[in-house]
Amino acid sequence: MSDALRRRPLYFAALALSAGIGLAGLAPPPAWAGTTAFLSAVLGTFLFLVWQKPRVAAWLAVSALVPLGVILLDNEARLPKDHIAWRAAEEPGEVALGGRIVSEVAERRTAFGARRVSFTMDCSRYWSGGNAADRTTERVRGRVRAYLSSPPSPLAYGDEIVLRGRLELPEGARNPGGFDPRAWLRLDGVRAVVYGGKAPPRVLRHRRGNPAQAAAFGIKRRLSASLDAAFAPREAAFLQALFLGERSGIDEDFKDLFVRTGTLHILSVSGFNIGFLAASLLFLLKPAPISRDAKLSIVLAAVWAYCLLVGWQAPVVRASFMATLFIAARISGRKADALNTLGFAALGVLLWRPRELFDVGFQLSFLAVWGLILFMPSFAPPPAVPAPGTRGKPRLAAAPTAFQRATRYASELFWVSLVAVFTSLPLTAWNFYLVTPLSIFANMAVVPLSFLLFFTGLFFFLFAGLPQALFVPAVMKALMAAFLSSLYFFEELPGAAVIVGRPEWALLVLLSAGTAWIFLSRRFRSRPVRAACLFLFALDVFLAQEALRHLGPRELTLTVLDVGQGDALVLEFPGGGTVVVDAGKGLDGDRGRRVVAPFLKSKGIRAIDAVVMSHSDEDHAGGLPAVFDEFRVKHYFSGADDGSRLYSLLAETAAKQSVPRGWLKDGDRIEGFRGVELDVLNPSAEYPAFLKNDNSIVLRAVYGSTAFLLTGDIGAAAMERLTASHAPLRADVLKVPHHGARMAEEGKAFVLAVAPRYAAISESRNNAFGHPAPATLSILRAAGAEILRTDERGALRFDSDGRSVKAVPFAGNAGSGAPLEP
Amino acid sequence: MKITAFEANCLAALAGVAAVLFFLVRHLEARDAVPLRVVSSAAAPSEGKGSVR
Repeated sequence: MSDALRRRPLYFAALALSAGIGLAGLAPPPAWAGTTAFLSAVLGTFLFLVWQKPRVAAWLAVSALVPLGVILLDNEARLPKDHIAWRAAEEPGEVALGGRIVSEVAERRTAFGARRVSFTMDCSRYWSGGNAADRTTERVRGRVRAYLSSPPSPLAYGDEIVLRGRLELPEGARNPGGFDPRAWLRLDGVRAVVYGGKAPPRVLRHRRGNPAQAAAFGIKRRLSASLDAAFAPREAAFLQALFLGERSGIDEDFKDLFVRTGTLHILSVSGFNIGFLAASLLFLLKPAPISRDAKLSIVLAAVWAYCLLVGWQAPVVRASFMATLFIAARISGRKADALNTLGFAALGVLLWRPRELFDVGFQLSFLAVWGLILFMPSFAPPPAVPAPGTRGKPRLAAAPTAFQRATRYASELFWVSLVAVFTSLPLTAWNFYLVTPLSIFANMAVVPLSFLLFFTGLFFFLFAGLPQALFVPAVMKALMAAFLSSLYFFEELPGAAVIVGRPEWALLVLLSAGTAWIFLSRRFRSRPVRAACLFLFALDVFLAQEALRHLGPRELTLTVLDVGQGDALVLEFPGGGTVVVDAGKGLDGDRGRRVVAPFLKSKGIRAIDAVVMSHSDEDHAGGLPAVFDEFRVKHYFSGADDGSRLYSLLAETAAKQSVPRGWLKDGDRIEGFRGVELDVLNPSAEYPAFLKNDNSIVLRAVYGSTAFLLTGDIGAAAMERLTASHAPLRADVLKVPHHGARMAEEGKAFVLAVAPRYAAISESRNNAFGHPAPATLSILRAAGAEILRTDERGALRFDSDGRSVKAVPFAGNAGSGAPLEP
Repeated sequence: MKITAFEANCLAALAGVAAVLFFLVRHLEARDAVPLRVVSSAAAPSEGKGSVR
């Protein structure tokens, strides 16, 4: 057997399994190919063993894991005929479902104070049509995520319930650069969702779950409550995330602080927590009169109990696998090979849940640790040079002073942080569209602080009831203050987080390969030079990408983002420049931060030439403050003051950031975008301020012989005036007014005057307003327009080269049956 | 700190490429900059209206 394979078999096995899963995910081979390859490899292994060629047999055995990966992912994608996802795909709609709650019951309050509850449920029975009494029971299996808007008396893990609601397949990603709920739910084995109706679920039996898990969730609830009682809401939310992996209390704004400083890993329960837990326990057990092995066994038990407590979150499970092998090696007196241990953890996680390979959390944590193992030796301190005249004999060194020890520790921390940041650079750029160069320093400050916080937290949980322990929360508050002020400090520094956009594939490969080469090349002797080369190389790649972006195709592009019920439109101009018109709602899931900002960031946009608020309705303007917060806005345009809260808020925000402001009205033209005329057709002085919708800003962008018409929420009065005004209205793309609300005769005349080739409707599925109205759809069809809806096709992109317009919807048609594909 | 010829060459090459790309990007940014203004066709606007203030 070769030495490399003998030393770290699990590492190579994990690489082979990942290759198989990766292959099956990117370019799935036919099912028979995987099985045949697997059987051939297994057979080959035996043959070569018999033939006494152990080296070949060992490599064949490892390579058998490639087809095994293919088979595992294929199996995960294949659903049995009685799986609930088939019911959701074939007959989505009102159903009744029987099953058992297998997760914690998460609860949150909406901006209007309504309670919302969600949980995961293993289904066992199904009644179509939602009426259990009239239907025969059908046995089903599979996991659904349930969302209830009128939750009943407390539900808990292990309850057996019957639930009525609307069964659907989960939505995939709806916007470029946006979140993909379907992939996220699928990691947990959830393949369908159910939205609870008015009738509350009926609890058949309590406590049918695993008693150990139920007890762990009970403890978690109590710990969470003790944090709520002792700390201010934001502090408690932060500590709940740090200790218990409970991120529901963390708002988007707060989370962004961690993203922008490159310290998000602190907020998600991860390998750090397991490391902190193990280190703290070993320290606390130091004086205990028991053997080292007993202490290690206690730590191991605590690590897996922690997994139980946080509900088997994938990052904790993977760190626990690693801790297990390290501790097992220590107990058995062997030295654990770091790469082999990493391989063991990866194998454990991937055999448990193969799709984890495609999860950014999995990739980031494994890549960072892998980088530290492979690349840290390049940053080992240089060997001490013997002093002249000592002829190479070691001198008796004086014991290092506290200052020397501290600087050595800080230097070590710096190099570790640097290696972790540069190793994960390609992934952070690809997934978060950001580089955070200062995160090297931010992590140096916050990692030790979060360790101290975790350590103090253990005392808090152990002695929460004792009055003598009152100083513990005070210490924790001080640590938290230091922690947060260092984050705010780093966030404020220029260049803390630079938006770079999603890199081109070729540049990403170049970045990864070049970085690895600089890390590993033996020709670098000096650590600072190696670090400087890493920095300069990354700078070169990102500058090249920026140049390519400016040299890209010159088109006028309108993107109608899918923000649910609301509008968010982005215009990108052929000669450069970006205009954002509205940004969806702000309350209950800020669309500005969740949809518009990631979209712009994914395109590498850092500055917006103009933000236009069509009118101040929450579903249009609510997300705009987040846009001001995340990007440099160069101009802000609105209509006249309508006295609303959002109007004043945005005016104040613009003033605070010294953004030049303008008020648009009929007859204005926004100039400066080369080759494109941007005309303002509405509002007109004719309407009183209270006709908010009719006072929407209407923009017409003309490029060559093509035009886009953006109409806000205008209603009958404005449509009638526009048609009568004889202003040029013709457009290839009409952003249909008011989410497709009902149009009458004046709407018909307006649509005929526009004569659009494409009609883009921005609204949410099953909205309460009945948008789009059938009458409006008929008018649009009669005018010969192709109707594209965000609820069906996700974000809608329209590209104009000045002669013709091409429509590029982001998602497949919801009715196509595609959602069941892996 | 003593650095080898190889290290010096690497640093110089990477810094040189960065400098060239930096000026290229700056030039492209200047080329694509938008001198935005609002032109009003209507009669004298009321306070602040129709122009960028």
